[in-house]
Amino acid sequence: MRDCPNATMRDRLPDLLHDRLSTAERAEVRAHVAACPDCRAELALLERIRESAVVRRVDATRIVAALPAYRSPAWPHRAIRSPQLRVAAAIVALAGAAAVFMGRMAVDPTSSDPVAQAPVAAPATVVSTPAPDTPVARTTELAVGELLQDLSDAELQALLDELETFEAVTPAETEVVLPALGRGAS
Amino acid sequence: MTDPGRSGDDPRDADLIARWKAGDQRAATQLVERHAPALARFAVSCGARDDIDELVQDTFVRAFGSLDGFRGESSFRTWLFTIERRLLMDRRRSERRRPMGQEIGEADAATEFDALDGLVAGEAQARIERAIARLTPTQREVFVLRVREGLSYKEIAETVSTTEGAARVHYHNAMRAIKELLDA
Repeated sequence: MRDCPNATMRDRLPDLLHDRLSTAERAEVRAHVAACPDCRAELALLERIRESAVVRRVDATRIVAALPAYRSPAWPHRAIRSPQLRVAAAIVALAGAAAVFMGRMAVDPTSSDPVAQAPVAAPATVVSTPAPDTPVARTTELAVGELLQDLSDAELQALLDELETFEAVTPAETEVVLPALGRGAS
Repeated sequence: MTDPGRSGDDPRDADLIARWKAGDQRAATQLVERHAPALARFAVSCGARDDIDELVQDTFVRAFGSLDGFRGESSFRTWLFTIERRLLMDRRRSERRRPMGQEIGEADAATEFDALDGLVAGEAQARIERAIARLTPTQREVFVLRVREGLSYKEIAETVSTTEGAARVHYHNAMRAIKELLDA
């Protein structure tokens, strides 16, 4: 059996067989087949192949009985399928996260209010481990939120003694660090 | 032009699906009766021999269980073929430990045809089935969907996960091979 050189027509033979051509296409292909012995033979072969398919009876009742009951998707599940709602949900989540972040950043780190800063790093070991010989560390601990009323009389006295040992440093005495530019050249 | 599996005044698949979702079991029966024979034909033509009923039933169960995922971009029947093909591939992988895309050899084809002997009626039908059985799995799927089920290349491409161009090439290669085998 030979192939018709008109590949377009051969391509449409199965569609002609299954009546899947428009009226105009069907007329065109039928006219070609009428004049082309190769396409007539191929169309006949296709028909034989289609008709030769093994027919199996299927028990539709049994299949239908096995089908699951239809369950409408829950509202949130359906909503999240929408691309627009997905974007909106992402924006809301980002806005919430940004609000929390900005709220934390709004706390002034130079504030002397120990209550305002207490949640950042409230040391739980200040009372149990007083360090009178380390005034700098002690001052830092107080600055981050220790309340003076939590200290015992002895601890307060020790703290006052330490404060008296501090030397006042005026702004004029602050060491000025000059940029090193030009030193290498001199 | 006709939609495969539907004729004349029959309700469209989309209408039957909507009715089933609304609780009409008769709509499900109509859909099953409309498409089950084609699914069984496709399974047999692709070499399935055992548990055809079970395969067709599993296809419908899976399809009806995920009908909300069916967007109607393809026909319902094309979608069913796609599901059935995946089930068939899963079954073959587990039973034969051989990927679907692998070429089948002469011995494999002969074995499949031996199993088919009990299903075919006459010598002419047997020769055709023998020729189809000797195609590669992909050629066979494409050829059967095109010739026996009347799918377009676009629908075939969706079903077998390929392009329309590749489906067309597979069809013509299969047609050439069938002619040679039948002429021999």
